[in-house]
Amino acid sequence: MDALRALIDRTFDLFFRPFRDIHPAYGLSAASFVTGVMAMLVFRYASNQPAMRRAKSRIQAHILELRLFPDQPGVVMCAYGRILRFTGAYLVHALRPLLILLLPVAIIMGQLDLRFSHLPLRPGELFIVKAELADPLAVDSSSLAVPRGLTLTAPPVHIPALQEVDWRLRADGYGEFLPAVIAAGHAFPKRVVVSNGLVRLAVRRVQAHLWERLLDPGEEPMPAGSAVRAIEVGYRPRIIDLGRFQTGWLGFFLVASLVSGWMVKVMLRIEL
Amino acid sequence: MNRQLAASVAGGLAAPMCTLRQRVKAWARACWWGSASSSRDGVRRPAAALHARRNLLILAALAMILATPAAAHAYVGPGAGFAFLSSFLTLFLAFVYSCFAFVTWPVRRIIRWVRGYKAYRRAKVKRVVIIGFDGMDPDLAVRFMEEGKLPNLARLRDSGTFHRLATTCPPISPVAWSSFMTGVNPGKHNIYDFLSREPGSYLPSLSSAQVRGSKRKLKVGKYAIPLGRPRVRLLRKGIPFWHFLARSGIFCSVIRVPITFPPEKFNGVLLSGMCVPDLQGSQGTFSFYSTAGSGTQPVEGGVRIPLLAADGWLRSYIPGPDNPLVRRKREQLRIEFRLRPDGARDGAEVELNGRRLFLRRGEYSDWIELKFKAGLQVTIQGICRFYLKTLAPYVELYASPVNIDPGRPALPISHPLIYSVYLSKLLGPYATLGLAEDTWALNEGALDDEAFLKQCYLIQDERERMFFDALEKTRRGLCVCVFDITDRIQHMFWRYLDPWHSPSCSAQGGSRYAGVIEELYERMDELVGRILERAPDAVLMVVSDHGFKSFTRGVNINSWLWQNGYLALKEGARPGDPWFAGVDWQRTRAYALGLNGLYVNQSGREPQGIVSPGKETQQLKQELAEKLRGLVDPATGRAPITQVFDRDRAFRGPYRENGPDLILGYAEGYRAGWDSVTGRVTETTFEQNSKAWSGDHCVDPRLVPGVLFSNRKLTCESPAIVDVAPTVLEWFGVPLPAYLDGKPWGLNGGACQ
Repeated sequence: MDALRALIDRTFDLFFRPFRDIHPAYGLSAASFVTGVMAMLVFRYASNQPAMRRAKSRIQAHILELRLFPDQPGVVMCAYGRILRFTGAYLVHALRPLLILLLPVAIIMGQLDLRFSHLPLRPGELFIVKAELADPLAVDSSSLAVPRGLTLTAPPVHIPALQEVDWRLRADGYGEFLPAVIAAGHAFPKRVVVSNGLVRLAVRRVQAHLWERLLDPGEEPMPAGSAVRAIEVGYRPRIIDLGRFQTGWLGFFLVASLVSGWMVKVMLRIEL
Repeated sequence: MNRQLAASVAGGLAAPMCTLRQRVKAWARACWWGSASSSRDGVRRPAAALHARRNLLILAALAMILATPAAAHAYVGPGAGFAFLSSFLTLFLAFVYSCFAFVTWPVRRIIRWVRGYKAYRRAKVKRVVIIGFDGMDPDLAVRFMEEGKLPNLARLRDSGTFHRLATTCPPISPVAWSSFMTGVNPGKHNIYDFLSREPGSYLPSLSSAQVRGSKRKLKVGKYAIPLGRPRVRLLRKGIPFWHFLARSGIFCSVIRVPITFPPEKFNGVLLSGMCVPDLQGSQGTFSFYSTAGSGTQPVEGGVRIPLLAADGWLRSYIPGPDNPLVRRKREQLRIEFRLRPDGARDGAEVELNGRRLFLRRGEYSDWIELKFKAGLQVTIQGICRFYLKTLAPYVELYASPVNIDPGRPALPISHPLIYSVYLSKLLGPYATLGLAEDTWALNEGALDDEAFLKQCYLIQDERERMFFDALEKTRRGLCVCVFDITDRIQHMFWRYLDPWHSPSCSAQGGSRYAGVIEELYERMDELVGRILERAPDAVLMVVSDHGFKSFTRGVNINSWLWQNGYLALKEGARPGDPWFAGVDWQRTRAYALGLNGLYVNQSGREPQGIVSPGKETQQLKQELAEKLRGLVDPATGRAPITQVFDRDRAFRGPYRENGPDLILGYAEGYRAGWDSVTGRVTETTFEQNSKAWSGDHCVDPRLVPGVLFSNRKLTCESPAIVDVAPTVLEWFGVPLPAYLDGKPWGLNGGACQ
């Protein structure tokens, strides 16, 4: 699993390398386009296109029926029932490609989330490292090992009710750093990135479960049953600035992938 | 086994507190159980089991999506985005529409009541269904009923009504169906033939409709962009009886009744029938492709186009309409295609419009969508069907006339406009051409008998589906549908029924096709049976516009007129040119045009008329009528014309002047010759009809009455097709307009008027 995760990370690193030092919209657009094309091709070859076409035609026919025979309540009721039936059939036909797409799109979105959801730290920027501990008694005894390049700017804040300890740090220069939370005699490092480019950022490091590994793929998980449940770095959220319009990466991705998908759909006459 | 699967998955899904991992495990277990069972028992899983497994997988997937915590993770790409978004919008739209329909229904009822619509208040019937079998012959119907082959029609005869139904003069489908729908004689509805005389010239034009381009055009460079829709004008006069019903609030569904193009507005739905043009604007121009020929040649009703070999493919094109955007010269739009024969698969691969399809020899393709690109992003859409006739020694391919695409109609072919779209979405693309059964292709050898029959029944299947949908939608009111197949098959297969027909026509496969017309009647009888079953409460009428007779001898009236000094040719002109090309009008007193019409070259009416109106015209008509009645066919010794009808006696109404001066009533076995119809003067008056078109009805109307069947006892003496309109109006309690020529029939023993 870790090897697969590393391979996926490297593949995406390679894909985003040309976009590292330019406006994030470019990289996001490229990823959206690839996702759109891939999704359309999957729909083209994995779905029953004639059946989808038939179901769509029938839905359209029964919508027209509502317009043609509005004075006949029986016909209207029947038409509505048939619209429901054929919409169901249409969705059933769409489910096979949807199932095929489920995993790859989840991986793509996980990778996009790593790169576009937050901004890396800048030199001189203050940030918080938050540790969630498994044992409430370990809250007071835990500490943070700070590497060179980062400076602790305030004493830790202990919140026993939440089993949480927070540290405020400052980034002194560019680079990747590994501050480590010390708890129950073990060190749990967390990667911190100080950069001005498009880089992979794992906000949280969590304990190992299959699903978490897929959905939070940025950093190797901590062993299950560790004294620390999760470590979180307080990166600032990234806003994609499009001149007058600003949006999060997800909105941009949804629109861009739908547009590119629609273009491919029209060009390749894919029924959807 | 399935129960176990369901339980395992349902268990996983039903427990709300269980973890996602457990749910995934449940799903995986279900999948595993499914595959394990099939491999263990080694038996092919029945379809139901496979469906059950598929459904379970789908449920599991849905559960996974729903269980995923973040909304973003439920988005599985633009495909799913489109699917769910469009489904939601569809349902939303449908919901809004149906709510609107329900909420406004009482309001609409009140508005109708205030406006004075008294639907069904005085009606004697709730629903009337009229089935038109174009050309169903009473003699054949009686014969087949007596032989026990038409049980449903016999049932109607025994428990309801059966009569011979008098047709119109002349007994031609557009004339008769116009009288059927308007309840008046041709002098009031203005249809005398398929063709009529173009005022100001001696050239023929379509009698029922006129299609012209948009009046205003924006001229930009080489383009002339139309600023409006094409102008389509209905030339038939009179008001169809369903308009009166609709005005009274009675819903009507009218399917493919002839001479309803362009469709008129009324409160109901209508799909136009006979006389709807193809995309080229003709009444049907097929394309026949062959590797045998070298050049493009027009043939009767179509065009022969060569298939040219290049790069291992055979290349050709589908001719389309003229480019409506081109300003100066005429430019026909085309769609190129290429074809590669595949002997091993007994077919050919075709590439067209960026699509690939495989044609099997001897089978029709599905309807193929064609997009003719006119420029400026303007496309004109049509549909056609291919039929691969032979692969060796020559590759021969037939393409049907390019029909107007009902899903994206280039011209209005239905009312409302969306009705044709609705039918197309519901049933798939269908033939829209008025004369969709390609009789000319069979005449010209582009199709053989078998292919023609297949085409007819493919079209019939489409029409039956349309009709039954209309019947389902018309729970109260009127549902009318005309089926053309009876006319087309009898025209083309009468030669196998008639022993006196030209031996050259019936030489091939006589015994094989001897029963085609009988089978046709049986199919129609079976259709009647299904209608009775589906609409037991309805008053059913089965009518035909005329009967049928053999057509063995053609009479070229123009040749006879020429030989008898009524028509003159210009000096040096040779006989044989079409459309009166060599006729000297300054010396011509009469000419024949169309199937039964004879015109006097009258001064003040015809552009170069020489016969004075009034007495001179009357004398000439009398003289011609007498001579024509006395005409004898030297080959048979029989009189080819039994009666000549004078327009002034045969027609009444404001459009009488537009009709032919004399209507020729041919004897059984005779009809106007092929050359005569198109204004060609030939050396001989009589000709043997050697075409596949071997049955006809353009004879003396007394010889070819239609049929009238009903599931009710109708009181009627000498019923005529013109009586149908007043009858239906009377049954629905709608006042009869005074100008109607027909008389209503009594229902269930009631008196007729």
